[in-house]
Amino acid sequence: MRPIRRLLCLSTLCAMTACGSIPTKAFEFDAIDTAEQPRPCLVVVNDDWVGAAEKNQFVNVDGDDALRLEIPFTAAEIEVTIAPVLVESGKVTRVPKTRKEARDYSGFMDDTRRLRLLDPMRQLFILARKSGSS
Amino acid sequence: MPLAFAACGGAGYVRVMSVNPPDASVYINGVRVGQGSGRPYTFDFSTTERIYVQATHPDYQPEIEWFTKESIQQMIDANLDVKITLRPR
Repeated sequence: MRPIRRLLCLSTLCAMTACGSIPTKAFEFDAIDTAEQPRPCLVVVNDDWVGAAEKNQFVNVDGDDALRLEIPFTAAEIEVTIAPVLVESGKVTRVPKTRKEARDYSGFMDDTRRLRLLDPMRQLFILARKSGSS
Repeated sequence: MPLAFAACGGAGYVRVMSVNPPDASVYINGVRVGQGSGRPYTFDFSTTERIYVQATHPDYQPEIEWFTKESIQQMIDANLDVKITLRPR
């Protein structure tokens, strides 16, 4: 093998090895309303609404709890959306697929935050009522 | 003189926090630290690069502000308190 080709192969291997170690961080998500009461929500990472529903990324559905998520940082920042949901008898009545749907159906505003690897582990979202909602 | 100084030798910075309305609740990094205005709070950057402060009140829109060590240091240099003003709903 020619030296230049060997060097290229080695560089590619190094790059692949580096790419294989995507940093992850465990965050704890929670949501309350302005009266400081727990608010049921769906936690959506990087706009993956289907994945969030499939992985059951809900918080405060069955009482006051928090959701712990291990998040890989494929970029410097990840985007987390907290989408309010309505709950009846411990079950989510409708799983939103968009921010607008979450807002319109729940009567609460959604919230989005861009998180970095070295941000605080606990992420609390305080959701306001939608204008016109009592 | 406002109570605004870097804690001795550590990563903590003590700043006075003012919230309006004064009976709003204050959270630092998602943990409720109290209610009311004009109280000193410690900003500890030993485990994080950024710290977020939230204030909430039932009759107002909640607010969030993010701080870095540099932004807090600038406030200390300028002798500024942390002020969060909520907008009525």
